[in-house]
Amino acid sequence: MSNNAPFLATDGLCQVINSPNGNADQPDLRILDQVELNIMPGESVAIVGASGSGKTTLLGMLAGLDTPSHGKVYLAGTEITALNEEKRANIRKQHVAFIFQNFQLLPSLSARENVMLPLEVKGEADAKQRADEYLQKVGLGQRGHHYPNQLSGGEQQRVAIARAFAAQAPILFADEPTGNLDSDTGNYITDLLFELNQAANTTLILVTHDPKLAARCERTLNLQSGRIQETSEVAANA
Amino acid sequence: MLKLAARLAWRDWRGGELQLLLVALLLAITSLTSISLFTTQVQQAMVAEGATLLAADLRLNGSAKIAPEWQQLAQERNLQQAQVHRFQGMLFNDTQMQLASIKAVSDQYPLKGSLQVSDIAFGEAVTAERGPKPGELWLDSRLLASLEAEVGDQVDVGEATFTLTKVLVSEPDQNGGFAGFAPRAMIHLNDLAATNAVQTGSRINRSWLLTGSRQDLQDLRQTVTPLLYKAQSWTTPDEANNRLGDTLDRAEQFLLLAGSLTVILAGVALVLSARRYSLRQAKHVALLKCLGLRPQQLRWLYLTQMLLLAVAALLLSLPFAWLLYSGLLAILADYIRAPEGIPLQPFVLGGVTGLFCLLAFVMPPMLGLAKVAPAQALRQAVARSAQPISHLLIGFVAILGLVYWHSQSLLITLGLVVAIGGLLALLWALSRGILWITARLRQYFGQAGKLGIANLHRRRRQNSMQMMIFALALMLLFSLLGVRNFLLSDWQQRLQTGIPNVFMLNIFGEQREELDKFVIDNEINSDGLNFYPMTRGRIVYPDPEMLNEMAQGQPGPSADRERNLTWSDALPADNEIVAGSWWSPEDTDLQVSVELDYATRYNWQVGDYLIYNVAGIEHKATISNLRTVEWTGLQPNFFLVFSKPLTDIYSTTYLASMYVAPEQRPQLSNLLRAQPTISMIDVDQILKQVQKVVTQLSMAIESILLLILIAGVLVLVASVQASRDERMHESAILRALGASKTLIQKMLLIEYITMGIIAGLLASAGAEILLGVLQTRLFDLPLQWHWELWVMAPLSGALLIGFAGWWFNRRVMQAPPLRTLRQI
Repeated sequence: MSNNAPFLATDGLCQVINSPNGNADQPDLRILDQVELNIMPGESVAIVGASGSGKTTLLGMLAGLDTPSHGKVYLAGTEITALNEEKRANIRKQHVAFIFQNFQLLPSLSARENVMLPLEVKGEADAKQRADEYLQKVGLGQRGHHYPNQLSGGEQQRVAIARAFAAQAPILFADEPTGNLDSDTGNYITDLLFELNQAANTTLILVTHDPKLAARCERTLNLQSGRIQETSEVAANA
Repeated sequence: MLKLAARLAWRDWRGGELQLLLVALLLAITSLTSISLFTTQVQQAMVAEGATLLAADLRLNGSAKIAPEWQQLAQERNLQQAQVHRFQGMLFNDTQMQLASIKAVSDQYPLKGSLQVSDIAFGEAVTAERGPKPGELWLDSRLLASLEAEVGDQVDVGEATFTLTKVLVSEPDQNGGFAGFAPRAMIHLNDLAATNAVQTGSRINRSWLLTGSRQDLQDLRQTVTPLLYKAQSWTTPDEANNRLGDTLDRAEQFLLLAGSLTVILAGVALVLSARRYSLRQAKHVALLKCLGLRPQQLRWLYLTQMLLLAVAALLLSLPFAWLLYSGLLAILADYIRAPEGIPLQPFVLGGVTGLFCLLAFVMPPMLGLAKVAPAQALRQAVARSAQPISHLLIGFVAILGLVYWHSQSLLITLGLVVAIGGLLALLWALSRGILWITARLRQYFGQAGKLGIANLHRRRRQNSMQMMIFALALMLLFSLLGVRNFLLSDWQQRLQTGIPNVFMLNIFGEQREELDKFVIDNEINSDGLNFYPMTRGRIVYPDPEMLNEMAQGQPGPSADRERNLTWSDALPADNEIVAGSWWSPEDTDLQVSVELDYATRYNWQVGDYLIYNVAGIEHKATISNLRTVEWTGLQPNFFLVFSKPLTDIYSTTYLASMYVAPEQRPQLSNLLRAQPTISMIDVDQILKQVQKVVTQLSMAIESILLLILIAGVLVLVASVQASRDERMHESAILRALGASKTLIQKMLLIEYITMGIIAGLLASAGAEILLGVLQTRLFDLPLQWHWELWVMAPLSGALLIGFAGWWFNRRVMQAPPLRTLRQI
């Protein structure tokens, strides 16, 4: 893959929900409409838009968590929309990491075990050391044995960030990473996210409502009625 | 993958997710294995009991000699052999002579069971390993009394003289029925020739007793059968075990039924636990998929996890089942001997059933997890999918297969399947209906009541499902309890003290008063004797040969033999009329009452007539009724009871029965000395044996019931747990909205108690139907109404489900609502 080739690209991406029982009076609901985008390796991109504009749906499609009604998604040079779930899972394992709005930590696992999970799925031998290393990086080195219900929201999201970066995936998808946090904690998490992102040179795609968070990204894509309108392009690390 | 599966399984276990599933599986395997071990043991004990009644594992009976070649064949197969020859012969001493049934036995006799002997007449019995040695004679107490002999005396049998060395109390192969109770003497087979009592043409019965491995016995039987003489026939322990057959049969049916119910209960508990586990795992799966785990890998992951769970369950439950079974055996040590070696089959049965349950009930929802969309991780709430109909179908078919495998009875399987299937439909409709009514009554409740009822109504779909499960568990438990009750009350009748244990035959009319007086004066029995008139008669119409042809191949007594006939004004106790009616004293014509099975065998109906020849005179009698008889009670019973005397007072003999307490037994010698013409039958030993078995089987049944109760309670707990998350979530929201702890407590209690009562009522209806089917079809007992069910089931439903609901939801009342909301 050359440096000029996008790491992530779409071609005429559509997501349509058919009206119930094929009722002609109610038109089909178009959540995504002919979305075209190209994202280069190491780029950071924010997807913004009103509630219900289809941001999370788009994120799911880009990460290969969901399949579109029409159109194609290319990730790391592979058309993932042409793959079945088995193969998409393989692509995710190799290339993709996630941060969720609701953290998605497993309640029965300690913070350390949550961070270890993607490494264990990859079958990496040094899962524990790497987990401890990344917990240290997010400032939770002493909290590895605590369970999610013993951590605050901000702490839980820091564990989730450690989990995402520990996997050392080339692309990171973040869905409203500060959505469930107060503004101070949100700022802290944002700094942490970009710090680690810069260090790892990861491609970052994040969905957010927060203009300040979007402003930290190199590009902002505005999603309106299922269509992309590029609003800004900021010089890298402005 | 194995490592990852093991790690995830361990973490799930630590988090408490897997525990209920493991407990359900443990209980399924433990109860099935221990019940199966126990049933196998009871079955083996029944065969062993049969073998002791034969004094062997296989017996050849007939008048012909046992050919030496056959004995050679048996020896080649390493079988143990003994011979018993039975004949009628005269015994003499200096003063008396007496006809007796004499048994000449070989050295090895008895091969199974033991001889009971004593040193004085009617004395305490001790066990003897072998029969009399050559030159020795053993006599039963009655012969001792009628010969006025004592141990140590010389007694002649035919032309040979013997020393009387023991009093014979009982022998294992003593025949049942009154024919087997003639006064008995026993000598060694080697002395038989010297007595010269058996001449060519004498009536003699020769038995060849055999023990050894089943295969060798079967082999010998096949080889020898084509060479048999006419009237030689084989008897196996199953055929010999008629004394306790009915009781043991019913106990076995109960155990099989209990095993089947355990399968159902354990299956339901597993389904519920698996469903809850899989719902909670959906979030894990979505995340693992985001992390790149493929559906195929997830399937393997869960398959491996479940196999690990199964291995853990097997390792824990099989030894536990053995312990439980050993405990049961210890309680019943007197009756059921511990097996030689550990029987393997029950462990295989329990283990395989456990694994099969896991595959049929747990795997479908687990494997279905692989279909969870990874995009679910992006959403807040995890979708609660309905149980697909295919999973329920797999479970239902699996239950059907397992019940059949365990019970080996199509009747139990179909009965349960039809009852449960039909009941589920009925329960569904009823529970919806009752919920509708309670919703109408809502306005009459307080605030908590209104909320509770509203909850019930809002979740009526899930609640109907949950109530069905509650009702199913309660129905099965109460049915089993009902079966236990009617079996025990049926058996209790045999455990009463004062059941007649001594019978006397050949009493003439004028002897009756004297005999009665002797019994009362000597305090043998203060109530005196019950007399039954008796005579022998042979049927002349319908043609006995034709009757025999009609009954060919059917078990039961043949028609052309002489039968004992009696007459009575009143219907004998324990008998029940099933067709026609009993006669009144005014009736002038001769009528007869026939035992139902006997009449069915020859296709006799009420209104038909029979002609019997009694002492040369023909009596024509119309069948006025058919009746059932309680044969197991060791009471004097007759196939034919006539309405009037068939002989005059001078040629009628009587049968008498009475209960003799142990301390009064020595008095019986005096009675026999005073009335030497009377034949006495002593059934005390047999009665004691029956009572012992019944007592111990009752205990076995109680123990099994306890085990199943635990399984039932587990199902209730699993069912409450299954909906706990949802209820906790709602309660936490209500608390956050300001509802007090007491209000939520009351609301939950009202909701669960109402469900418990409704489930209890439904269970009563179901159990009543199931009990009706089981009582009449499986146990051959009369149909009965169980009013106590209708009180006990709703009450225990309310208590159990109310308590379980409160207990498993108490955390929501104690913890701050935010913590509860966060944890779910």
